[in-house]
Amino acid sequence: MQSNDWAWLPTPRVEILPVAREALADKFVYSREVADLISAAFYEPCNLLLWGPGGHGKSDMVLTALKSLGLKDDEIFIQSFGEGMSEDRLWGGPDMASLDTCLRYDTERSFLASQYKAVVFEEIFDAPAQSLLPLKDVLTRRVFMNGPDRVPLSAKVVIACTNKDPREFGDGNDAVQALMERFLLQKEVRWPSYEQKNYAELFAKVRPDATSGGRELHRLLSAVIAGLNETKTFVMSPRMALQALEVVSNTAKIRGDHCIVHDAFQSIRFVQGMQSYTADLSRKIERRLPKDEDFVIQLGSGDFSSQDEGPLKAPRSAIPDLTAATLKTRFIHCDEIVQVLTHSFFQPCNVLLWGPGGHGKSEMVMAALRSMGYSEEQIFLQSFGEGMSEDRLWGGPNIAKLDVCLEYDTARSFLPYEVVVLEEILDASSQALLPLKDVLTRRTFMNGSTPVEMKSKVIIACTNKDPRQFAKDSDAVKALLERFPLQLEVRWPSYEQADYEELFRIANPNASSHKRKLHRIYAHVIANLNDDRETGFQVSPRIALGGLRLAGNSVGRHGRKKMIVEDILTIRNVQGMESYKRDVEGLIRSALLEGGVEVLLSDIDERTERLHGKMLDINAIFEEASGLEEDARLELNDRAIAEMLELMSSIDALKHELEYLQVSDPKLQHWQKLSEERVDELASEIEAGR
Amino acid sequence: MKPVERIRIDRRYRDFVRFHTHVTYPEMSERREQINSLEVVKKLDAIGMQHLPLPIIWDGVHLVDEGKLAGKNEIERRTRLTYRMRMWKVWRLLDDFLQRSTRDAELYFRLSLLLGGIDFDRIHGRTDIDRAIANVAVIATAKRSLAVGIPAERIAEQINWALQEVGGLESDEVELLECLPDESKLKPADKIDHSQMSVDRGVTAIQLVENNDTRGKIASLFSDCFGAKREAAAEKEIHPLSVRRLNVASRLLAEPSMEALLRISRVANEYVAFQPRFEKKMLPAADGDQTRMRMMASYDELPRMAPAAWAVKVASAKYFRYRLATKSFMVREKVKRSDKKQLFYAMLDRSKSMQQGERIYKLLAILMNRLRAVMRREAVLGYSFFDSSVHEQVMVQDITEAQDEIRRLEYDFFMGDDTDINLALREGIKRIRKVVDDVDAERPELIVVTDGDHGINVKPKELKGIMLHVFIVEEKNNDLIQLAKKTGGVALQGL
Repeated sequence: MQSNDWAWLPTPRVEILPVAREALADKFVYSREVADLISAAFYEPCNLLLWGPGGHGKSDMVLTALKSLGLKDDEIFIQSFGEGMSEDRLWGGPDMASLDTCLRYDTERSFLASQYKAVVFEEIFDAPAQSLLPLKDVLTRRVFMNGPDRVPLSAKVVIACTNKDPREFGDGNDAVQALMERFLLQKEVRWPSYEQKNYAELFAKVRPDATSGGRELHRLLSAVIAGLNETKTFVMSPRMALQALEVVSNTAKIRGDHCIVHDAFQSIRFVQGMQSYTADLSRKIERRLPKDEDFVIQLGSGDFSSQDEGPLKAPRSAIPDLTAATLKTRFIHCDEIVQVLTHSFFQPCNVLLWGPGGHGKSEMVMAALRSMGYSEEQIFLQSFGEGMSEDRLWGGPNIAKLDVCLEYDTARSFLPYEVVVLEEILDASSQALLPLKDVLTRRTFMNGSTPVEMKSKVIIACTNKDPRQFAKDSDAVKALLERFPLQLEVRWPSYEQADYEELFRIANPNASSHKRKLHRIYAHVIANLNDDRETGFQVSPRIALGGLRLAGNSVGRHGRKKMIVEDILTIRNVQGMESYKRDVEGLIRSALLEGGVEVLLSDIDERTERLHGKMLDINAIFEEASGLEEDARLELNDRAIAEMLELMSSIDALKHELEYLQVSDPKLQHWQKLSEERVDELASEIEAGR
Repeated sequence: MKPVERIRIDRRYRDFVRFHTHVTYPEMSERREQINSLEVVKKLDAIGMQHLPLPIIWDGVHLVDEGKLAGKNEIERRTRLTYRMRMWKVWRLLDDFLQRSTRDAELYFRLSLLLGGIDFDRIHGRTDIDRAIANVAVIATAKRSLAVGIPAERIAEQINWALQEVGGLESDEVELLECLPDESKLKPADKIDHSQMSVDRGVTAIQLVENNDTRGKIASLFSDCFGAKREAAAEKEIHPLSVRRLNVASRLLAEPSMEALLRISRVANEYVAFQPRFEKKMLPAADGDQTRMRMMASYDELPRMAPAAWAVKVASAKYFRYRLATKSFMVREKVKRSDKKQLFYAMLDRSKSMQQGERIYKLLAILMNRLRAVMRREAVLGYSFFDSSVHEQVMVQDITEAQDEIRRLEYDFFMGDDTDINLALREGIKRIRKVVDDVDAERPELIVVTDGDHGINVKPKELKGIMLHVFIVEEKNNDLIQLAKKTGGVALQGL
């Protein structure tokens, strides 16, 4: 090592410890030991590994310390590792100019570039082993062989952060073990305990100007949070706790009178990470609150993280009313989503909505954004999915420059937009998600060598997949999900007749009373298709609305005046119903018997009409036959008689059906009588015609 | 259920109980009998409630169909009308002077007030017809409770309480609760522990007795109106969930210990550690039934690249090479869901002391909670009873077997003389280690339900890899609690 090694920081060596310690103590709780270790690494300088559960601000601490010691942003390199990590990304991507001859890397874009004095690797042990192996060599030799060129590692310290426990991870994986040995100093970052006093201390640190009401809130909230913790299965990380504080105190602001009431604490459920709290959350929260249901905590201005009107188009004070007014008139069961969107616009922060398809997630989001004054062109909407790749995320490669270097056309990506909607985000592969995570954290994207600022204030992600399932599968997804501080599962609390009726009412507010009656019948039919069990089949709102439209369409298309069973049966063709296994027709008929006799009656009328038509056809055949030769006549007669028999059995079936039908409403009874008469008339006519 | 002594009904209530005059208005403008009440009658017949007079059914239907409760004058008019209809001609003439026909109007008015106090909104049903049926049962019960002289506000209070308790029950919970044997079988009459019961419920002993008394009365009326429904387990399917919930509600009113059971299962649900852990993974498998696209991981996957990639090669060879070099092409891969389930193993105390108080119910609450996970196909459950030795192992293969097992339970079964928790723990660990491999399950958890307060000498490291949950009913055992906490499990005592 060179002799001036120790002078790599602008701060004199003796001051490293006090400066770092002070800087960390300003922002973090329980940071004393970490500060000590970080300064030790800088003093030497040597490499440092910080590990421990997520959400404790490991990378943040490192950055704060580095900056307090006088390093500038462009002297620190941060690289996220993870499943999507590949070797070429580590070394800065392929050098496009040399691609025709040999594979060389563009090391100026990697951590090897000469301007970087400190390097931070995040989630380092999540990367696949093949990309960790070459890293080990470089850390040892401090030189990377890029083709024939030697690229020296100029950074003095490499700091790695990881959520994984190196003690468990080192076993049986030599590559990792060897890499770990390159980090001389190692330290676990976690709190001494996760109890009420710990959280209270954290809150006191981030809200130093809290009023007495605010301190009361801190006390209560930290009690609630500590009550939720369970050793080994669920511990609320400081990040989640802070977000909980933010959400709860914002509830007071959203109310308008800056008061915290009983319900405010329930909004903890929106905080990222709470979706893995599978137990009965609301009861657990209630248990820690004062018994008095009407308690109120008055907050003052020092208790909120910000006072201004917020960076979005609509001012903060208008957001709650705007969102509520737009969504509540157009969607049902949207209370939760209104709350979570309000919180997200208010703060503003990113939000993830997930849940079964067909509940209008994207529609609601778009409606809410439009109500805030964003036009279609100002909202960036991108569908992710399996085909999503990194270059599509950043707007596609800049083709003109492709021969020289790889740059993206970021004007076409989400970066310049203030509000962004990303759909099906969890379907994308981890290679595409990894860089996204980085940009969401750092809010700048390095496009080639030019930094592009991310202007997005609110990113709303929608997905049909369950994030719990995915977070287990892939750490890249887990890390990305942590960038969405608010999350909500969008589904109806129940799928009953009343719910569907309300849905139809909101979708067709001006329906005539006759239409409304049909809606009711249709809702009844659909509710009958649902499974009692929560895990079973539920007709989603999209299927319900689609089915209703299709039924109306079928009535109109066939020129009918009234809806008949056939029209309702069209629901079988709606997307999403193909997986329905039970006997749709039987269920629909029994449902109609219970609460839609009108449809059955008009069905019978319609069929009588058809049979009448058929009778006329048969008569025509007989007539035609009468003018023919013996043989041909017999043949035709036989055919007509066969059809006649069929007709008669259909009439009998119709009669049975009518008899089976029992109604109580006098109006319907009258109708039934009329239908009966008509059928009888037809039957006698057929009799006579024979 | 307790053998119900026939409740005597005062003579003046005779007509009130035998006949019914509906006390609600239908909604005339729009809904207008959307529900076919004759179908409601049919359904009621099918589930053994055929004895109810038609006007009660109207009331039930109207309450679903946005109808309203009638006012005092209207009720008087109606009762007069209906009572006179039943009268003999001569009586009718006399009635103009005697006003006998309106003598029950007051009762009907009280009924209508009572119905106003009951939260019919709490009754959920898939369709309106299910709700109507449940309403009918509640109205009939409320009416008869009024006739036996229970004050209206007590009726409303108790019925609302029961509706609230059962309102959130899922169909699988209801199914399990239906298997519960009668209280008389599970609770020896001489071991009822009133002080523990009142502590559990947070009420005084006097309130407890009073509550149970009223509830018992209401419940017997409830079950009267369900007829002989309890036997008909085979035709469960035709009973809508709303009615099955009500049936549970009626048992809840009749059997105070059901309350303890529901309470414990709610407590157990409050812990994340006690929920089946949510882990479904997609694993790459050659014989998988689903395909997914993922980024290529190595160059030997070239043949599995999506066809669109080759189109890129034609369009821009250089870009293709770049994408290839960075491995940012998609490849197809077959995957299959890993269907490893979680293993629960329950060690249940069957010592004689378990007969005391409501311990058996609390034990069943835990067992049922685990069975639900089996019903949702999230877990495999095995259990054994233990006293001074550990009894044979039951693996729940078929849920109906487990239900039968519960149905057969009696308090006499709990007759062991001693409780050896250490043995139970060690044996449980041994059996788990064996079973985990046999049934291809993972993440095993051992559950101990006991009332034993003995010291524990099992060391945490013996449990390596197994999460231990302990539920100590109506007793304390700090050793056991500490042990369970060390494994990260749920540890509760004094339940």
